[in-house]
Amino acid sequence: MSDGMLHILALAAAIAGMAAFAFMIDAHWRQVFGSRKQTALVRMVAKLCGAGFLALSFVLCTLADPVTMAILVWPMLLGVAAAIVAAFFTSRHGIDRRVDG
Amino acid sequence: MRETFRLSMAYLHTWLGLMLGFVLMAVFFFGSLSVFDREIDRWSVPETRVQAGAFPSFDRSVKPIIAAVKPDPESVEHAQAEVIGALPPPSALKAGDIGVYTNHRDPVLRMYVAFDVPNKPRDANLDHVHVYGFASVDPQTGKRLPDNLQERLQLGTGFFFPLHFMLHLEWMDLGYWIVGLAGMVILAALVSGVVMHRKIFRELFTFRPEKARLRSTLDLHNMTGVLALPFLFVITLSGLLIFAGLYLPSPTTLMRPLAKAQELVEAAGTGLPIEPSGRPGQLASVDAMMANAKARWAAKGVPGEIGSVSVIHYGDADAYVSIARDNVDRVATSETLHFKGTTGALLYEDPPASGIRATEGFLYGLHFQHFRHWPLRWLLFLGGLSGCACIATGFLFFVEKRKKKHAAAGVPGARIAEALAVASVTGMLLATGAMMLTNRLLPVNVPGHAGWQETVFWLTWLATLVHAGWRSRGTNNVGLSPAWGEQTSLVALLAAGAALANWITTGDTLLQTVARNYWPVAGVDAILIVTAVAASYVAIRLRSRRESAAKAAPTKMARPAHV
Amino acid sequence: MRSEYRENRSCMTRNDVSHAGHRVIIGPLSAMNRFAAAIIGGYLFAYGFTALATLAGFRVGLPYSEAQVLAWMLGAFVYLGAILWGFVPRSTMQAWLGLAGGGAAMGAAAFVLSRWTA
Repeated sequence: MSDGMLHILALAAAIAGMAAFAFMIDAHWRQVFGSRKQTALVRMVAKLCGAGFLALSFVLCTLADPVTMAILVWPMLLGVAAAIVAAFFTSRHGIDRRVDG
Repeated sequence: MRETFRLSMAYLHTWLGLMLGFVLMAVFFFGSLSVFDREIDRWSVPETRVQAGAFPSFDRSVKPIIAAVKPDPESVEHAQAEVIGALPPPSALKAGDIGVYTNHRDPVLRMYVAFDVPNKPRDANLDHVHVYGFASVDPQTGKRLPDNLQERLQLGTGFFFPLHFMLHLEWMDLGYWIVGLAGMVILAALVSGVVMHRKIFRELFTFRPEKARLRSTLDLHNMTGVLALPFLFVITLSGLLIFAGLYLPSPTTLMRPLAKAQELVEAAGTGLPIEPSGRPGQLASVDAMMANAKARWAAKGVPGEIGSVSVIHYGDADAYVSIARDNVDRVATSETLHFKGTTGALLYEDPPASGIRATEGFLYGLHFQHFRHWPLRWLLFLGGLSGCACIATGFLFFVEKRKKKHAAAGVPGARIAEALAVASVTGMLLATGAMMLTNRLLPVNVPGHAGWQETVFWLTWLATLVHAGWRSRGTNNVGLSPAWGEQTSLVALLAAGAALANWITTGDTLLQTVARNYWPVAGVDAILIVTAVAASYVAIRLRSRRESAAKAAPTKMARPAHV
Repeated sequence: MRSEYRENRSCMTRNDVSHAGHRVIIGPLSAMNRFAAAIIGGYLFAYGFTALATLAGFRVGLPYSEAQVLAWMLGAFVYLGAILWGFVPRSTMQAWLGLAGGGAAMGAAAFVLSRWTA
């Protein structure tokens, strides 16, 4: 697998992880899942998935580059991933009725 | 106590941010441009738009040229100011050290010659002062490039990069100190920004553009700050470390005897002669030393190319050659091998880095960014621009929050802050665009070509401040100053103009440079075009917002204006 | 900082922190004094710290230049902490004394101890 592909997968994993973390927040959960209840179990699963995907992202980064470079690439990818997830929720916010956080 | 601390941190954040934010905009913007400084050099000096190649033969391509390198007149001036007594005439100066480098981002081989100066330095801390001469070699042909190429202003490494770390303010190193203070202020602003918030994690994903503009501006400020926080903190810390010797020289100033003694001890430990012997010596084949170096790196499991070659005490019996690896695959700085000049035998090898040296090397490396990793380079560029976005939205929030109150009280504070903010954000972009346009349009044989470009930069920036100040007049000006929209439109024009000028003067369009894989110039043109498009979009949105605001409240404008 | 609140007609230095519902008002001169104490006092504190920390690292066995690099790396954090702490004490004079005084003490200690070959 080429380095470029690994980086893209690492970004995808980071996005998945950030999205999972976002679902721990009540307002964002309701934006996507509407009336389904957000229980403590859901929050824990979201937290675990989030951590898991971010860890996977890091592993993919280390496969693409030497470790000293991976530890620079990974946090930057996290920032991009969080921005993308935030943009998603912002766009949904406009479509749905106002959900006050 | 906690509440009081949080309030103090809010206060500190606001006022430090306001006072140094203008400087920080420049530091972060030109720092971001400096990520691609060498690519901007290629754009601004079209004669250097060559493909990078392997490090050429030192014996055949570099050594014959050394004798022909003359001291640079500007360097002679600098040196004269730093020594006691008159310097010998430039032709009488002897070459002391030679340095040569080329790599994947510097396709032209650059050479400097440090001439020995016999005069005593004025500053007791310095042992020597040198006069420098420069030359460039085309690595494909081995031929020396014309000297007048040296005089050409490299917009990236020669202007934007130094602007970023010292603001081109040389008097008493004032620029360095201001940037250093700004760096500390960023760290304080980041920490106080975090302490101010009670729900920092929630802010990570919060952006509510449909809410009142004040709230959404703050949302954006928080979001860009939080998302880029690890980057902003580490890049600032590493930047401060680079100039720490200037900022905090206390180990030397307060403990001079110990510091000087230890300097000698450590130098002696390497076995490399600090002073030349004074006896002449013939330099052995440097190419053989380069091959030796590459073999050693391969044997250690880190095969690599040559990054730079330096000859210290050139022409002396005690000369030595330092060969550094081109670290394209690492963050930290490189391993250097030192060979005896007259024989080519290995004198000294830098030992494996200790924890402290490894950390230092890593921090230097992530700031100087000599590696070959284009995704990371672009990510760092975006990180720097996020820092700019954070500062700009901070200004906007500060101004918008206070505008109504200040207007009602007849106080100019918010409008002054806004004028400064306009000059800092759009004004800075305009100055940059104008300079790049001048670079392309001003004929190369005009005397003072470099100086004219710099003059255009500074005058344009000043003009944007005057324009912003003029447009902020009038206390019933409670909306966004019209200067924002006007300058943004101009940014779009200048950015597009610069890309167009590149096409007209060099024949390189974005399509052509992409087709022949000449990414340095393609990248710069692409950014110019994206900037033009984005600025157009923003300008149109600002104009439509102004028009709808004017339609909604025509009677509010009836109050007579007084400045 | 509470002891320094003054009525001030100018809106410029009014810091409105609506979360907590308090209005924090401070005059421009005492604000400048506080910032000076934090930034200049903090710098002096870091200056003294860097010298003393270099000496300490060296005495513990690090090569001098490495002790210096470590002192600089820590020094940035120390300066940062000093700036933030500068806003904590009730009176600005306390901040000045703590920071500038502390820096002077550490600097003097480095000066003396580095020359003391006992």
